[in-house]
Amino acid sequence: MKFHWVNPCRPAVVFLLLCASALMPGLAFSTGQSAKNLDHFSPIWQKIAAAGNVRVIIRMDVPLIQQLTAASTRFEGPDPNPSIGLARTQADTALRNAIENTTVRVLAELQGTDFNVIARYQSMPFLALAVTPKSLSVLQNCPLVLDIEEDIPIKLIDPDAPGADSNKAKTLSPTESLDLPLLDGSVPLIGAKKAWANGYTGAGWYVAVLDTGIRKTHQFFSGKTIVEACFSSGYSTGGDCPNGKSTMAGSGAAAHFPSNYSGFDHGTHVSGIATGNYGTLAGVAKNANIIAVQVFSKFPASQCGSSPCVMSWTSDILGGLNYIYTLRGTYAIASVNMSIGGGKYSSPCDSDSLKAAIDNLRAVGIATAIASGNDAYCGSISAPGCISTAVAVGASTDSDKESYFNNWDESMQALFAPGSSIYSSTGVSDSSYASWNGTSMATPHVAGAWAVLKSMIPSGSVANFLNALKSTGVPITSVCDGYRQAIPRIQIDRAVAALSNYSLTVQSSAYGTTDPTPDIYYFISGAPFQINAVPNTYAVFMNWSGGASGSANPLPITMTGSKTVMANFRYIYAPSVSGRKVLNRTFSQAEYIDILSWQAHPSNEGLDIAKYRIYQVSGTTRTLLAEVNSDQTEYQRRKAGSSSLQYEIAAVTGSGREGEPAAITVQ
Amino acid sequence: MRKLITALLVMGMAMATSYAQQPDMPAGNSVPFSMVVGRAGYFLASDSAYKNIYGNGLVYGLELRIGKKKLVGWLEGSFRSRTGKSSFTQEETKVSIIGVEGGALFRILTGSFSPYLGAGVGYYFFKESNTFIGEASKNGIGFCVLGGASYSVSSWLVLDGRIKYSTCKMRPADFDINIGGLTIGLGIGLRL
Repeated sequence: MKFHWVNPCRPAVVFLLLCASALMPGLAFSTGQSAKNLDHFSPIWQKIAAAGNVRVIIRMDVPLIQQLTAASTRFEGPDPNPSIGLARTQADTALRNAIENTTVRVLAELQGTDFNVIARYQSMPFLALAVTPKSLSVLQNCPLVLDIEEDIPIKLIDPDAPGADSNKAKTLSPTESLDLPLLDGSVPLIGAKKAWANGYTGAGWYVAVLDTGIRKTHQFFSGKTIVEACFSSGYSTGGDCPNGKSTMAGSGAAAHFPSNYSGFDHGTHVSGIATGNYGTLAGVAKNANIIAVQVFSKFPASQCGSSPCVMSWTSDILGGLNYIYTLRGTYAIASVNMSIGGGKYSSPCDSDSLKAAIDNLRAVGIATAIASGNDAYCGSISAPGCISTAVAVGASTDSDKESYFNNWDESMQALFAPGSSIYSSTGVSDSSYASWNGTSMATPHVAGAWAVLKSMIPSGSVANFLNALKSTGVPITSVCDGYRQAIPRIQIDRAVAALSNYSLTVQSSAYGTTDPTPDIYYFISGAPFQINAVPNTYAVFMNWSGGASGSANPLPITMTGSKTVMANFRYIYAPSVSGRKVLNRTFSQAEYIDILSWQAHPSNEGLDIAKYRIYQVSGTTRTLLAEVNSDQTEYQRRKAGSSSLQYEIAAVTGSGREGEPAAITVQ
Repeated sequence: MRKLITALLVMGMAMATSYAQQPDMPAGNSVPFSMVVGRAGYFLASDSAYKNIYGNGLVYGLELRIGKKKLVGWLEGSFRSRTGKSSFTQEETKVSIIGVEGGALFRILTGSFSPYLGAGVGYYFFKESNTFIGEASKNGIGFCVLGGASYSVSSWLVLDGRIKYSTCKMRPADFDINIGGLTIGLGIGLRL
C-alpha cells in the first residue's frame, strides 16, 4: 500500500544537493519530483488507527541516487584485479554513504515521535520503520520521503496446499497425477544433464535462496559451500534470527525454524532443487554453492489460520536482497531464488520496493527468479513475481502441461519449469526427501539453470540468458487462453547451444563410448573441454581421429572452432587355451599340477598385449592367480588334491585393459 | 609305540633264546661268542618309486651279535639318506630312514669261516621332506632275512659279508610304499 504527495523542497535540501553537484560534476540530480497519490494513504491510516502502529518502508529522496547506483552496478562479480575491487568498494561506499546521510536526516526529522527502525539498507534508498500516527504524520510531510509503502508480510508459497481459482477451468490432468516424483526426472527433462556433460554444472557459482533457511547438514548439500544470513525481524518485537536479533550473518544464521511452523523446511527443499547433489540424485546446478538467506519470521496461529506459520516481511526480503548485492564482490552469484509470493496482480507491480533491489541485482548480472504463485489464476500472478525485471516462473508437469495450480499470465510469466511432484531434500533429517508441488519448486529449476549458464558464460547478462531460455524453451500453453499463447519451459541444453560459438561433435567407434557421451556439445570461443574415451568391457581405446589425434586419454580440447572428434576402440579377443593335469610326486607324497597353455588370438595382432592374467574361477568368485609376460604361453598351477578346477585366461594391454577371458576346466 | 615295543620284544626274545641255547659250550668252540660289527652296504630298493626318485645308495649300520655256538642273536641299527627329484617338477626331495632290526642267526661253524642265515624283525623310522609338497614321516614294523659269512682274521677281528632283504610297507602320506630292499654289505667286527 502506498501514498504519494507533493514534495516541497526545503532550502536545506537544495543547499546539500548543490554541494553534491559541485563535488561530482557531470552527475545529474534525481530528487523526488512525482506527485503523490493520496488515494493509497488511507489504508495505512486505517490500520494504524486500529493497531496503534504500523510497519512501513519509506523510499527516500537520496541525492544522486540514480548516478550513484549506476556507478555501483557497473561492478559485477569478483574480479582478480585488485583495482577493480577497490573501485567497486569506492562506488559501493559512495552509494552507502549517500543513503546513510539521507537516512540520518529522515531519522532526525522523526525526533520527538515514537518510531522504531526496523532496517536500513546500504544499496537502496529505503528505510523500514515501525511508526505511530505521529511519526507517520511527520514522514507524510517530510520532503525527504518520496513514498511510503506498508511493510506487509508475504506468505510462503505453500507446496502442500496449492490453491485453485474457482473461476478457472484448470484441473488436475490425468498425466499430472502420474508424474514420477523425481527430481531425477525433471533435471534430465530440462536438459541439465546434457549441459553438465558440456562441463556446465554451476561449479564455482552461487545460487542465493531467500527462503526459510536451510538444513545445511543435509546429505544433499554435502561438499558445498553454504553462506548463511538471516533477516527476520519477527512478528512483533525483537527478531527471529538464531541470535535473537533481526539480522545475523555467518554459520548457523540460516538455520530453519522448528517443525511446528508450517513450511519450516521449504528452503531446504528449494535449495536442493537448485543445487543439491548426493548419490545419483542431483539438482539443476549440481556443483553450485548456496547463499542461504533466511527471511521468514514466526507468526502466531492468529495470523496464519489454525497453526503457527512463517511469513516474510517485505522489509526483510529487501534486507536479504540488499545483502546479496553487497556480497557480489565476494562470491560469484548467478541468481536469486524467491519461492515467495502473494496477492493477485494482473499487471506489473513495479511500484513494489523490491523492484529496486531486483534491478540492482539484474544490473550486476544476477537474475531474480520468483514464483508466479499457486492460486491457479488466469491472467494474474503473485507479487513480487509480478515485478517486470524479475524472472517470473510458472510450474509445469513432466509431461509438459501447465500444472493445475499455476498462476498464469502470458506477459508477466517469463518461463515455465517443472513444478509437479518434485523430489528434493526436506528438513526432517539429514537424509529426508519428499515430493512437493508448486511454483516454489519450479522457480529453483530456473535459478539453477542460471548458474549452469553462468558457468558457461560468466559475463552473461540476465537479458541474454533470459532470451536464450525463452527462445529455446519447449512451448507450453494454458487453458487460460484456450491454449493459444505459449510460454517456454526451460530447456537448458538448447539454451547452451543458442549461446555457444562452436560445436563439438563427439563420436565413438564400436567397442566403446566417451564421457561425455557421443553427442554434439556447444561452447563459447576458447572454452576448455575434456573428453574421456571409455572402452567397453574387453576393449581398449586406440586413438583419436578427426579433429584430434594421438592417444591421450582424457583428451583436452580448447574450442577455437567447430570440430568432430572420434574415439577409436578395438576388441581384445580371448586366447585359445588348452589344459591338462599332471601328477608330481615324491616317494610318499603327491600333488597335482594343472598346466594351462594358450595361443594369442590372431585378431589381437597389432594390439599392445603386455601380459596375460590367469584367474581361478569358483562360482561367482574370480581370483587372480598370476600375471605372466606376453611371450609366455604356459602356466602351471599346483593344487591340493586331484579335483577339477576352472580357470580363465585373458590378455592385458600395456594400458591395463583386460580382454575377453578364455575359460577352461582342467579335469 | 606299540609296534616299537613289539619289535623290541621280538628282538629281545630272539637274542635271549640264542644266548641260552648252549650254556656248557667249551670256550674253544665258541666262535664267535659276541661281537660288534660296523657295516656299510649298498641298498637296492624294492619299490620302483623309491628307485625312480632316489635311486640306490649306501646304507650304514652297527650290529651287535651275542650268542653261543651255532645260534646267535643280533641287533642292528642302520641309517640311509638320499636326495632325489620329484617326478614332474624335478624339485629336490630328501628321504631318510633309520632301521632298528634284530633277530637270530644260525651259523655253520667251519673253523675261521662261518656262513650263516638269519631272520629278524625291524622297526623303521621314515621321513621325507620336500620344499613344495611338504613333509611326511611314519614309523613301521618290517621283516628281514639275511645270509652271509664271517671270517675270523684274528682272535678279535672278524670280516663279515652279508646280503639282507627287508620289507616294510607303510603309508606315510599319499602312497602305499615299501621302504625295504636288498642290501649288500660288508662289515668289520670286533670280538668282545
